[in-house]
Amino acid sequence: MIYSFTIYKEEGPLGTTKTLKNTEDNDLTVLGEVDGVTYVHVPFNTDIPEQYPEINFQEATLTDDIVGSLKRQRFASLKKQILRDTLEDEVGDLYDMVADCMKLVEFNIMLTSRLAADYFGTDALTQETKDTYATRNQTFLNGVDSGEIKIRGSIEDVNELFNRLITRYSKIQTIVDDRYLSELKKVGLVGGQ
Amino acid sequence: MGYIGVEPIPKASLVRTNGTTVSITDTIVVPGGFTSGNIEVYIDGLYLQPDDYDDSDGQTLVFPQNLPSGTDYIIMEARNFEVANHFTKAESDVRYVLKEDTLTPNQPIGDIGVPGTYGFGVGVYDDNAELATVGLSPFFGYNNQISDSFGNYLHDNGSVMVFIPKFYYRIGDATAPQYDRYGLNTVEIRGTKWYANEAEANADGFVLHRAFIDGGVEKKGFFYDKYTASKSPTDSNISVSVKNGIPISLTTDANYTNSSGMTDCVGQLHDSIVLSRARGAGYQVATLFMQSALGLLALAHAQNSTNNSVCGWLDLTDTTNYPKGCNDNSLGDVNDAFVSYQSAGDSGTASKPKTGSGEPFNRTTHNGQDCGICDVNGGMWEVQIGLTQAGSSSTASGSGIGNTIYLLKESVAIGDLTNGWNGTTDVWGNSSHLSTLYDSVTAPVDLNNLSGSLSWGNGAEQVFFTDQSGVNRAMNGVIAKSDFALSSSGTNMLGGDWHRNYTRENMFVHSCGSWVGAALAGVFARAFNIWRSNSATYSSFRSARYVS
Repeated sequence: MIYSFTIYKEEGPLGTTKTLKNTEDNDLTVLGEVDGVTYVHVPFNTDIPEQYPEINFQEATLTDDIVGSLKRQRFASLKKQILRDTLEDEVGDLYDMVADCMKLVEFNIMLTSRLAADYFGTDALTQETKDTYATRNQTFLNGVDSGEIKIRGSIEDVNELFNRLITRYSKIQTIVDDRYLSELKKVGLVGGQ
Repeated sequence: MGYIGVEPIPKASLVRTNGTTVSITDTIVVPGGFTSGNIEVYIDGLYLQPDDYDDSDGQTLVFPQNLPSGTDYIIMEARNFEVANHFTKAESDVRYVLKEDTLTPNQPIGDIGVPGTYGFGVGVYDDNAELATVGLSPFFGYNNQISDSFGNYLHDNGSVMVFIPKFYYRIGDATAPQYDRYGLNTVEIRGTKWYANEAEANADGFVLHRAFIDGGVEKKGFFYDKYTASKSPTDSNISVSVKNGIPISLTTDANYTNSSGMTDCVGQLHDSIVLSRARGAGYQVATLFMQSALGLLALAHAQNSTNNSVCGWLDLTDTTNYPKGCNDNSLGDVNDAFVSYQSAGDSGTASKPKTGSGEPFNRTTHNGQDCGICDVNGGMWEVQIGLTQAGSSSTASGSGIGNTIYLLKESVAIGDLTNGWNGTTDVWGNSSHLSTLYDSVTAPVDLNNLSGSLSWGNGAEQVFFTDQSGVNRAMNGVIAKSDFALSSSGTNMLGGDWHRNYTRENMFVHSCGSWVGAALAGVFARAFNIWRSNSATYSSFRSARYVS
């Protein structure tokens, strides 16, 4: 559950600051601040101390703008940084991961090309090659079905994932066109449509 | 005659008597007399040496031969001497520092420095040869007041320690320059070069801090770990103080880097004593008195600094004018969005920080400079000895046991103390045992009010003790002066730091707060609700040592 509050301050050395009260046992997470309002995640079934009335502690109403803003703040950025550090430590550095992606892309291109060639009749697959691909394909599917292989679709809604990726991809193309290709087209360094 | 600027203080006045002899005579009578030895005599404009006449009777000058009639004479007497407002050479030689003993630009060796200036809050030990006998050696730059390594020393096991020289403090004095703003909680700090001894400081209203007494002896200062304890990269059985170390959690929880399994350790809070003593003879887990000293230094620096060069965490509005740290459960500080830490990487939580990884680093040190002691606000709760309550067994943790607390006697040397229960040198025990090592005191605040989750400060109320000796001096900065010195959210000056009132058998007080402490964490944060045999993922420690 996400709650919101506003820090109350009386300025100066002898003034006081009233903010969220917590105990050491509670794992509350401050998500960030938007327009002077601080948002905090309180885990389910967590008992927290009674709060100061001055801070207006209440269940938060989150708009898309607020969620978007919070995702750009310390907590979310920290989690992303930790993810990157962990991937680098435990999986490999960025170049290793790019190399892995290239191998996956290469594999997909080869598979698609072989299937297409077979479908279009330009280079029919032999039974032996079909069997090899079928075995490899089934091994992979068995791994996914058993949970031995975890793919992104296992932990996230595939439709949402696809939409997000395509939206981001589309945005990149727009930026590339607006800020780069169109500028080069204007001066004749790239051929226009 | 007038003067330019401030009127000069007269040291003496000269009284002139002049005249002309009217007959041949060998005497001149001076009306009103004079003090023998305080005169100069001129005859016809010539200065006479003192042995050219006899001035012993204080009334008449007697010459060895006659003066002719018509001789002009002038007698100048120095009178009305003022008491000098400077020291004699002998006094000066004792009180002042020779140039060769002064660091660049002006902090004397062995002195705590001046609040609000470079180098304040740490210092240089005056005998490197002596330090070598306890495994310490100075860093390059240790004697350069503006160096990041000023007052920093390296132990043979790789630990970085900081020297905190002896100092005197004065609380809430109306003549203090900052009194108008900070009132009864104005803190003034003076180093050893101000006063020849404690009595002289006391006469000025200044108090020797309890942290500089050990084994009944006044100490030059203490060495304190710059970083929270972590495991040595070369020997996981040794605790060290190193930058970016992963703090040792005093627990058995395998999801955290922990003390369980380290030599002679069992994953409980008292492991801190075992590990500190393992550094060498005389080493011990830090005391609450030392923590109090760090708090007063931070406060005096806050009240006197005027720019961020000398104090990285300075807030001239005095709303968040204290060291920052890791306390927002997201590797940052709730009061400073620019402070960030690196995760220790423990599987238990990503929010536990590496010690010393805070950036900007000088915002996380007790004196706002890179040479200071870091992570005094949040990060890990730090166990500290010096105050406890009696227990009925080594693992007892009962609460509601009344307001009798035990303060370590000044005569006890902390290096002798051990981690057990009820043994001769053990930190904990029953009331009979504690009476041999501690002074029994009624707590100045109601610790027995178990719902008392309060914070330091209550408007203009005085928070600190002003006593020049005894148990009240020992409690200064360790525990609040009275219930009136606490309030639900505290004061900005004291960071709203937590004062967790509680009573516990075998109490093991915690300071500083943890990575989730938020505003409650800080250099004055104290939790009185934790006990010797507890096992806690958020608890760690630092080691310290007196030399001489």
